[in-house]
Amino acid sequence: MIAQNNVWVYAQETRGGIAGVTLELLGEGRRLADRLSVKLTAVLCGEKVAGLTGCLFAAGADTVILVENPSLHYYNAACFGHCLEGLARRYHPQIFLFGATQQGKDLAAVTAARLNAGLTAHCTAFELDDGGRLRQMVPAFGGRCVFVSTGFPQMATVAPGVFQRPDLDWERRGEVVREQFTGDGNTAVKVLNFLPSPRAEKGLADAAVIVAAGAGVGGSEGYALVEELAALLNGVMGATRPAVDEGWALEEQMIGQSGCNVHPKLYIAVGVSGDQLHLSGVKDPDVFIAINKDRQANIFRHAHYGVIADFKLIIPRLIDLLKSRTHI
Amino acid sequence: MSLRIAVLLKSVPDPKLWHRVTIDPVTRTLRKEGIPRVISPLDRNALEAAASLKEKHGGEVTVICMGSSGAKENLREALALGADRAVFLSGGTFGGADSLATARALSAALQKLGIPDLIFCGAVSYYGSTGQVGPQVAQMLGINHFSSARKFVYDGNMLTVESVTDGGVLVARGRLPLLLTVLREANKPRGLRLSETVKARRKEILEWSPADLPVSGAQLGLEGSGTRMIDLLPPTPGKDAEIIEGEPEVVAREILRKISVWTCGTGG
Repeated sequence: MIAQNNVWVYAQETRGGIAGVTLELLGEGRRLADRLSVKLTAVLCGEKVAGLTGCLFAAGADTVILVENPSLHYYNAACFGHCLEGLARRYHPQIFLFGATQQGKDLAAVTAARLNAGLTAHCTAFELDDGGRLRQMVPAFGGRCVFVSTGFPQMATVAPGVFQRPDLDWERRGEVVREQFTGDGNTAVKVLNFLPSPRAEKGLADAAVIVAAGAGVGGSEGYALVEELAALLNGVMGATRPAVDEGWALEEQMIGQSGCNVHPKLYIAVGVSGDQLHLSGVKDPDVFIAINKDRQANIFRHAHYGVIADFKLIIPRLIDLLKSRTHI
Repeated sequence: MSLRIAVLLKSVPDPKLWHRVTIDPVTRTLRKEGIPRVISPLDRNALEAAASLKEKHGGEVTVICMGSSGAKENLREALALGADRAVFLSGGTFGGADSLATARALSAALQKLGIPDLIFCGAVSYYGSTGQVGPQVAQMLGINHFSSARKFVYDGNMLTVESVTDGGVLVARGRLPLLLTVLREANKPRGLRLSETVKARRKEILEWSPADLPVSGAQLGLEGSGTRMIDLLPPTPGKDAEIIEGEPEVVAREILRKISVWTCGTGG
């Protein structure tokens, strides 16, 4: 029997493993559970996923609630939502955290609607007030909004990369609680196929060098120039919302609140104005260089080094120097 | 079969002017006066999805929006972009709604209209970017949904959808009624045409207050929200960047000196 009022983390299975963001949330969940003197529970649903419980304990879970059923082979909002709603009604978690992956965002919304619970998206920090209530911090327009839930469970989503992945302790053990899937499956919807992304993504999340393009690059030609620089630095290309909206960059290259969180060693921002929705996704680079011709751009209040100039004059010189390597 | 289609539309401050939104350090509220409101960009793709399906299969498109008075202009625009009629949820206790209370208002309006065969909305809005409202409306109506659809085909009976998910694309088939949240890749929204703009002036915009909906007022707006913003902290001032100046060649060399740690292994 599991005590009520625990801290819960939704454990997402991806390609036969546990999603990185789940581990990050278990790290943060551990901290919250210790402060509240309650248990940390991971909830794992799937077809054959029992083999993944060890990893959840290693990351800090005390308990894993395990639901295995063929209806849970592919993610499907109706079956997964039914499952989590039933568990939450039975065990009454006080906090329920989800990674802001595609699946996590959808399932959190669905579960919150079924439980009539509030859900705060894009949290970047949690605090507990004196009464143990969860203060959910969300960056907004240069500052931060503080949200609280009006009831329980207090639900929130957190993007990958916001919290640090805890060190895994494979000696840690915990309790597995098996629960039955009580739904009928979902016969109105049938999955035909899953097409894995063709390219092994050179992930922004893990990149040490990132060059990002913003609205100021002006077009796909300017974007290609910045891309060439990124390639010469063995870096990964990132983008801001306007660059994605204009179609120069892909959605998954977007850095910021509704995109990726990154923590590169070197960050070069080209033609990026530097609004907080973007900057909140860039965590403590060792070196941060901004190139922008607008002297007033907010980016110059955050970068370590600023170049107030047209990138079209600077980047080609950089590219030439990198190619000729005469700078050494 | 002629299709009954609904589009959920959000009116947002023009994303191109977001840099003008600031936090008032005294009142701790957002200052966004004077920024024009536009249809949230991906909701245009939702509207296009609905309009093109209607043109192919016949039917009717109803666009629904909850918002303050400025949003009515956006509904009028939607009527010129393929919608046949509009429902505007405005006034009274609708204000201050989070995604849960918004989804309740929208699903109550859909229930009052009769649950449509298909509901479209953008995969995320451009203000909160939560992407929660679509899936929540589907739950409240008890229908299936697909999030982040990049492509869909309707064969007159079933809908086949490609939705972008973690690490790939899920291809699935579903029976109507269904709700789809759509990505930019789903289509290319049409532009405004003068003839359609003129026709739109004669189309109907129903205005519903909370009392017109089959849901208790306590479930809506600020009171019905599951979350509450209790504080808005102003920005902490950043430290200004050290400016690198000079001729492009000089600047480029100086940048390379700053980043030499990362360039040693490159080139050749």
